[in-house]
Amino acid sequence: MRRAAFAVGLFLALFLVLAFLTLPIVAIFVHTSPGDLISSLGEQDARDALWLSLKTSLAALAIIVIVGTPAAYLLATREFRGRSVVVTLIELPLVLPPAVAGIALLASFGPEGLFGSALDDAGIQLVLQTAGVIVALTFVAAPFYLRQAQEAFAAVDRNLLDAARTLGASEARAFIRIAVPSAGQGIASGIALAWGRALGEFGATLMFAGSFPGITQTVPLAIFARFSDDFTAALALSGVLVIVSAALLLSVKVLGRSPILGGRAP
Amino acid sequence: MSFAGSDELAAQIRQGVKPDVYAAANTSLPDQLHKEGLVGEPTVFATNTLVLAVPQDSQIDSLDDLTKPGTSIVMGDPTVPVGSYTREVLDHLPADQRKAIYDNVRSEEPDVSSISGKLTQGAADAGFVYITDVTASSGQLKVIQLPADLQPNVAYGAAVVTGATNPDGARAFIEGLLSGDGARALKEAGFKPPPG
Repeated sequence: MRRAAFAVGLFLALFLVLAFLTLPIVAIFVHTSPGDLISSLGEQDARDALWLSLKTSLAALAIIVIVGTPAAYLLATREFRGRSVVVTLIELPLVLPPAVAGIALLASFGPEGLFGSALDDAGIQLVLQTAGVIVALTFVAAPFYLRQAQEAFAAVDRNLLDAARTLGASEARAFIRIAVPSAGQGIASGIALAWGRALGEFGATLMFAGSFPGITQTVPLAIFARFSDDFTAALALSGVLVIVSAALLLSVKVLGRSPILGGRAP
Repeated sequence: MSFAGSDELAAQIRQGVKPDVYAAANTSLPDQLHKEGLVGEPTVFATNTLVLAVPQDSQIDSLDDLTKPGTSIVMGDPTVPVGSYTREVLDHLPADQRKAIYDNVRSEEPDVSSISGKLTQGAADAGFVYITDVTASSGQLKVIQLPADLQPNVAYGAAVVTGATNPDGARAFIEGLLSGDGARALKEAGFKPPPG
């Protein structure tokens, strides 16, 4: 009897979680007809925003994966002094409000910031430029990937890596041929999380890169610009972003389970 | 209290959010909401001046300087009052000058604070804001007045929201903006009293 009550409690909790998290998303599509979705894509600014979001989030993701994967591997496989401090510092942007991230980026890479004149001397312009959007996205999204990749590498069977080395594989070869494929599923979910965070980025982008159609106005900024005078268009563009994000999440999950990345079938 | 762009607050009221008072940076949004029956008769409680703001050490000193290629300008998004006032001003300029200025616009911001923030951080060369925002920047920005014949009529309207939980308090708040401490605080911040 008591066991049944507990089970009911569990299901009730799951039902509440599911309802609360999905109802607002359902509401977007209740208020938006498929026609609205399509006609919102007919608008040049909306298409520009979508294209810019894809471009900048992919660029940020490439930087994150290329630099982040070896860094996460190091953190997962080596013990060194100050390691936990490094891990904490890397995770800090996870808990920073976007406004703080925006201010921090301006204070470091803005024209008046710490590295402002150095960047200027090098001919690099970030604020109010597409490159600035990529910097903002990389800053906020990287910790999501690093965290997941680090956990995934830590879970790789050390005996496998040792065996590979005993058989004569170099450290680098063991990393590429054994560690990365074995951690494939965790890496894939890290990519999905970081990509989702990058696509949704708003505050840091606005403060650091600004908002201009085709240059710096990503989909969330375009939604915000429409919120005030055209709620239907804002809803429709939100619907498009939900669909794109869901498709990305799904495809990365499917890819993570595929044998290519060494994942196991469920 | 909830502070946000006038248009966002109006959108929230249209979505059923019910504060007691709605105060906006223009009169058209309160007028529209009044027509839709969402707020009572609006009262003009202050006026302001649209200016060109530049960092203190800037070489720019007129609208004409904004036409130089490579000048980066930030202005309000067309959907927010500061952005629509700015376009009102620019639309009165000769076509070639107007085009040269629009070509230099690098960001359309959703509120005034992100415009002045970009200017104080050196992220942009010039921006259109209200004179009160320059007052608030404590000396970091410098004002360039717009030609008087281009100056838009920047008036602020407030109204009691229909169905307010505390309508008496709401009316008292609006009256407090017109006289006494409220009016004094507005004056110190650089606002001008309503005409008449």
